[in-house]
Amino acid sequence: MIELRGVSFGYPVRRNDGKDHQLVLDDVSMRIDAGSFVSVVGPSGCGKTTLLKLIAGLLRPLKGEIVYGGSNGPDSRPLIGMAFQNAVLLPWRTVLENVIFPLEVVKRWRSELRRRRHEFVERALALLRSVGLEEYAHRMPWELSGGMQQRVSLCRALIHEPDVLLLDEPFGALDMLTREELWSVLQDLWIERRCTVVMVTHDLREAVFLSDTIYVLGGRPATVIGCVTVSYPRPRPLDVCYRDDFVRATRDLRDLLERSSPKVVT
Amino acid sequence: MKSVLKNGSPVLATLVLLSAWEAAVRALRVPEYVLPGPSRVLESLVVHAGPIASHTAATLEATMLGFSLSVVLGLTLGLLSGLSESFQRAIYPMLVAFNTIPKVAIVPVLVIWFGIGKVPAILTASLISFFPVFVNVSTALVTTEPELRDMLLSLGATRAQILIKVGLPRSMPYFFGSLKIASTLAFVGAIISETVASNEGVGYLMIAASSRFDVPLLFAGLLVISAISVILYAVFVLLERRLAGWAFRPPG
Ligand SMILES: Nc1ncnc2c1ncn2[C@@H]1O[C@H](COP(=O)(O)OP(=O)(O)OP(=O)(O)O)[C@@H](O)[C@H]1O
Ligand SMILES: [Mg+2]
Repeated sequence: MIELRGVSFGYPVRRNDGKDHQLVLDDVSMRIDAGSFVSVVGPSGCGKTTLLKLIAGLLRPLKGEIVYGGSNGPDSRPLIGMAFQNAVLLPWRTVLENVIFPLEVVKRWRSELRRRRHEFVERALALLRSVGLEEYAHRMPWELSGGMQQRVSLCRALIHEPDVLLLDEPFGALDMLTREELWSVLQDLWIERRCTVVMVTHDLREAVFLSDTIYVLGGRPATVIGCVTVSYPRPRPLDVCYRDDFVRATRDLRDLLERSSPKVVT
Repeated sequence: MKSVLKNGSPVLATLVLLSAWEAAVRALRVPEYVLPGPSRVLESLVVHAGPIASHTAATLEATMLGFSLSVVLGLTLGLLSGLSESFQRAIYPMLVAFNTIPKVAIVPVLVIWFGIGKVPAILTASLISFFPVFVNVSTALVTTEPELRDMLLSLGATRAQILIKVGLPRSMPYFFGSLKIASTLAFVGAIISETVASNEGVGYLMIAASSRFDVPLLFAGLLVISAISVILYAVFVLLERRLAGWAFRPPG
């Protein structure tokens, strides 16, 4: 479990009166149960990426604390996997080598890389197979379409068996059909592993389809203005999106967002 | 036919220029000590082949030594400033200022320190050519995608690991790209120094020829210089394709 307790954060800005912070997040509290799928939605620029970086430990809160698995010691931070809107694959490595990359970095695996190389390759190939890209293993990233690259990026985020998967608008750059296809791919991967997922998204249908819990951020500085629980059974088929209660849930979320960001009159 | 035209066009253009030159020189009866025709230059090249070869070898040696120095210097400074933003901020203005100094102005200083001969040529070659290496490597490191950095940090990577796993491979195309420029610059630097302060090398040969009004030999020297520049450039293009080939996607 990850718990955010009254987390505030601001990036340093230079002001006339010396250094200060421009608050981005103010008093954000969240409970992310282990093995659950949580989405974060909110208007553009409200601090969603910042929130992910805080959870990843790349930034430190100004106030409040983030507690991992009930303790907040220095070594309690879970193993993290990340994927972004851009796949950012390493262009000098093949698809397979890209997927294996985290194993060359994470302490737990790095020491065993040489001895267990064969096993790791098998693991990467299995992951690629599960996203339908096994025959592309030895291609270069630029030979793949955007959607395929994003699948590779998902595999790379999962290869080291992270406890927490952080996704920053992972499907934001894809067309609707590809996106929906990858929802199912992601859902299957998650059901199989049951790691904790925190996903930032702009797509409300995506949030409702994939999540157990959706946190809505709003205001300036942003704080949690709503939390919606979705309890459809898993695995969810794609046509769940056309059910009345699904459409209603999406619209409620939309209303909540709209109310939080006052309309600009043009 | 089209590909013959495409690949042959540089040769064709050169031939056209040379024949026009030869024809003009002959038609206008331009004296040899003003502008010799290509045939005369070629003749001089053959007649003086021995000395030209040995002076060229000397220049190439100075070029290569200076170039190696410049690669080490440029790479080191580039890596350091890619690693530390404050280091980059501190040295960048200084290096830019230094780079704008015409290197011929530095040769007298080098002569006072090291005397006439090979050392000033080597140092001039390296001083003139390390800047592109430095700029390219540091730019490559600084422009590493922030997402990649974040991903690596979240995996628990150290700065050194980020440099080795991502920074260095990513900067390879920039590095080899800069070698193309740096190698020809080093060659120019060596020749500049030789014309001022040396008793060997193509630069010295040309100054000597000039003082004897041996204009055909002077032009032969120019010919050798441009041939070597082209060859150096081509060698590093090849090396680049070999070692950073991933950066060149096939067209289409
Ligand atoms: N490195 C940084 N330094 C200073 N300010 C930053 C930095 N990164 C983000 N900000 C500011 O923090 C605020 C929140 O940025 P963030 O990227 O977290 O928003 P976001 O919700 O992810 O936006 P989007 O939906 O467009 O991706 C923005 O106002 C942005 O200008
Ligand atoms: Mg963002």
